[in-house]
Amino acid sequence: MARIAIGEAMIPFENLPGVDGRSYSSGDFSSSPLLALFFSCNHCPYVQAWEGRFVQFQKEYADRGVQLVAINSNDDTAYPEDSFEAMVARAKEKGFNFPYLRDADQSVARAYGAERTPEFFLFDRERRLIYHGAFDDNYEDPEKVRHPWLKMAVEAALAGREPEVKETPPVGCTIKWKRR
Amino acid sequence: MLVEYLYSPSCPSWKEGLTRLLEVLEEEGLKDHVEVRRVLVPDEETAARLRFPGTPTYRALGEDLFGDTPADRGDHEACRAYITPEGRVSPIPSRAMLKGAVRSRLRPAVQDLGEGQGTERR
Repeated sequence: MARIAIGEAMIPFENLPGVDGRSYSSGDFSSSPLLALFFSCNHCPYVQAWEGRFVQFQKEYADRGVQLVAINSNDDTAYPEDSFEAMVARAKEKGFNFPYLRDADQSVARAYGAERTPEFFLFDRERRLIYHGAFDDNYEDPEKVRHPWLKMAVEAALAGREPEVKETPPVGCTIKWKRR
Repeated sequence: MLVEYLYSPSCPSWKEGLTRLLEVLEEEGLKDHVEVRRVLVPDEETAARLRFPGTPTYRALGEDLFGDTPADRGDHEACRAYITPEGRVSPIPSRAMLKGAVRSRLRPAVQDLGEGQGTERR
């Protein structure tokens, strides 16, 4: 269960390595009016089913001040497809147009209480959580989406309104935690 | 004829994967000839023992209905990827994919057992 509730302040993160060779902190995105963090990975079929839509979303909303940031927290011992090297390769292969960051010690996922990949946390200009959950309501077929949840929340925020739907169940694979 | 449906509720599509199979069996007239047994994979030990490649997995006569079984991970929470004929990745096989698997793998086996449509039940 998420450890951050609607209306609460964003939990900052520091120095996560990105697939572009840079290191990112949450403050690096302060110029973006809306910030959509999402926990993601390489191996999960739900992510793979949706990821083309993530790229399209960023393309569509970049000029309107919306920044996507993907964070991969999965244990890459059990899932080598989620290693940093594999992340670099996938981002290149799929043309990711947003930062794809490695949370190797899983501290960011734990701080957020994230459970799934993909799982979205959308923050407004004041970096308060305004939407949490799934990207849309159909992982199988983009043509059959009836509720583009993240877009609906983004459009509401860009229009100065509160999202009508603030929370949906995240749909995806469980985050692969390291064995303790 | 027995089909085993291997699943963990950790993958959100597990119910849809089962519903889709049952609907396809009915559409194909095999509902009364095929027993679908739900096999819950609750932990890593069971996943390893069953060589579980992820939810959902369909097996009949000891074989995977979709042939090319991905490597098992020993992870009961693994979700399985299917590639649709359109080249999309999906966490469940499409209705058309299931129909194809039922027609190519289940129907001949049912007929061999004398349980299919147009044959007498024994």
